[in-house]
Amino acid sequence: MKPRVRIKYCGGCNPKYDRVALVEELKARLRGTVAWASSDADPCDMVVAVQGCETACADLTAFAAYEIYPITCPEDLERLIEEMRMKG
Amino acid sequence: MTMMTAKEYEESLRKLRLQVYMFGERIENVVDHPIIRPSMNAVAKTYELAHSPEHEDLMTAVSHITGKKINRFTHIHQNVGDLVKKSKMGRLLGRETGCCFQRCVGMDTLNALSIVTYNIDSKYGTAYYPRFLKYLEYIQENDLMVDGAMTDPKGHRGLAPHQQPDPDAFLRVVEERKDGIVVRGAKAHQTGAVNSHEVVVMPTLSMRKEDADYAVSFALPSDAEGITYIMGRQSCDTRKLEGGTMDQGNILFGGHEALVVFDNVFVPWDRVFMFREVDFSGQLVETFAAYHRQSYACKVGVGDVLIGAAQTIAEYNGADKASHIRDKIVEMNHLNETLYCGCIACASEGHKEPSGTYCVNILLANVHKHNVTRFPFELSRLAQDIAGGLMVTLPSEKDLRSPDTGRWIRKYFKANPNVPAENRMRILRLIENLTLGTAAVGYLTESIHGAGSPQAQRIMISRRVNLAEKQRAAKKLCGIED
Repeated sequence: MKPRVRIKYCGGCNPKYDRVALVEELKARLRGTVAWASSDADPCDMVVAVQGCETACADLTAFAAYEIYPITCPEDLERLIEEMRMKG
Repeated sequence: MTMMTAKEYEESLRKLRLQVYMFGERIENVVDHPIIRPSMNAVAKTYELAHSPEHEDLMTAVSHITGKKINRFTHIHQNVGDLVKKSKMGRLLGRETGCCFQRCVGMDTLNALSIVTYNIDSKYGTAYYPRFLKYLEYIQENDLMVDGAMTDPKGHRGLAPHQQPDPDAFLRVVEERKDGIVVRGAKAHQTGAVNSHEVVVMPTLSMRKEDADYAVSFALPSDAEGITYIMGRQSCDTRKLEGGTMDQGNILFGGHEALVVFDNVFVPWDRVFMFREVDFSGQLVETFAAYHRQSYACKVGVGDVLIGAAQTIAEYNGADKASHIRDKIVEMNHLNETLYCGCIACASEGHKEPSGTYCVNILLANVHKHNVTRFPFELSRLAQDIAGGLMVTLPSEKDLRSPDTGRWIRKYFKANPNVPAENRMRILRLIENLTLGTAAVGYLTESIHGAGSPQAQRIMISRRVNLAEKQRAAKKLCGIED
């Protein structure tokens, strides 16, 4: 069974990169490897925390029970994809 | 309902029966009026982003009354984190709209009332706080836009409200009834007034006992009988009537201000939050002002847009590699991020009031707003310096589109060979819009006078700073013993 992944963004007050474009790339490159949880109500196995900068202020209290994969810059993408593929 | 979408917000405005006048004529369709609509678009953004996964972390909160997810603009700050998120939300929306998005004043009003109504009840045994909480729940459940109305026309500046030749120069209670009160007067410079569902009135200054009739706070539906809106003019406003897509500069968003006249308007008791408690009028003014001075985080977001525009025109002009241009861009960022430091600092150093509401650090909020009265002017000067004189001599969009003149404009206003003249014109129009067009209303003059003119902040700084402690530290180091 594919791992179910939830995307959680920070609020995006002053992001240093295009967070939405990065997530689109992430989804495209992991197509078929993982399943994406689309809302808070959907069950998930892990959470990708998409933080716009190193402050990483996204509120993750609701996801304390899950494995969390943070992204704070575009350079984190390759590492994340590698780890996700290993999970998948 | 709890959280409206942008579309639902727009439709909700269409149901209001506002009495709005502009250029001497009654406006029947306020929502679609070309001069007003950009300001409605800016408020609608506050609704849209609350439904966006990539912004909901800032744009939404959990109601401390109902436990439901609500738009942050209707939230009462429950901790320092909420205050910080408010500052960040301001920067986000300032950058997304490039103008005043008008909704912070209502949030600041609700938060100030959540503190002061509690304090009045504690002293006088009144029941304003539970009444306010009921009203707040109504606002949260329906996700309403609130106009926080503080500034009176004020008449003769040297006279107290009760001494004015025209007693209506400050809004006042003219009749007390069994079922409520009747008020008369006006509120000036009301940002976003005709985009609001509700108007909440507060006194404009600290009152004395002779001014008791002026110490009043209440809420009304924005289309209550007896309320009239007279729209303020903005520089270059009629460019929005020309039908083009360039000369406005910001082609999507804008702001507005209006004079709001209350002509013998009835207010039921369940919407009255202060009634002749003169000793709390000053506290309400100061608390609201502190929150609203924090709210000028939005100018940092507008500054982001201006810096982006300045860098872009430098590239379009082919001047971006010049060392003095690069240094000016650095200076612009230095000024803008210094503003950001202030709004984050006053939020991070916030504290809990007896009602449970968190309030910003009042000294730092005033320091932040005082910087806002200055830095946008220097940012604008630098942007105009980088842009060049063409910004104010540029022909119109119609000239660009004209078969007679367009080819000359495309030929002679091209600088960087890779950038069409039209793009260069567009970015110049945006800089013009921000620094001396309609958006300069919000970015420059409102930055001076909004939430209190500079002198008001200097008074608060002198009141709040601990000079004696600074003297003690100095004297200790050099061996002075008093």
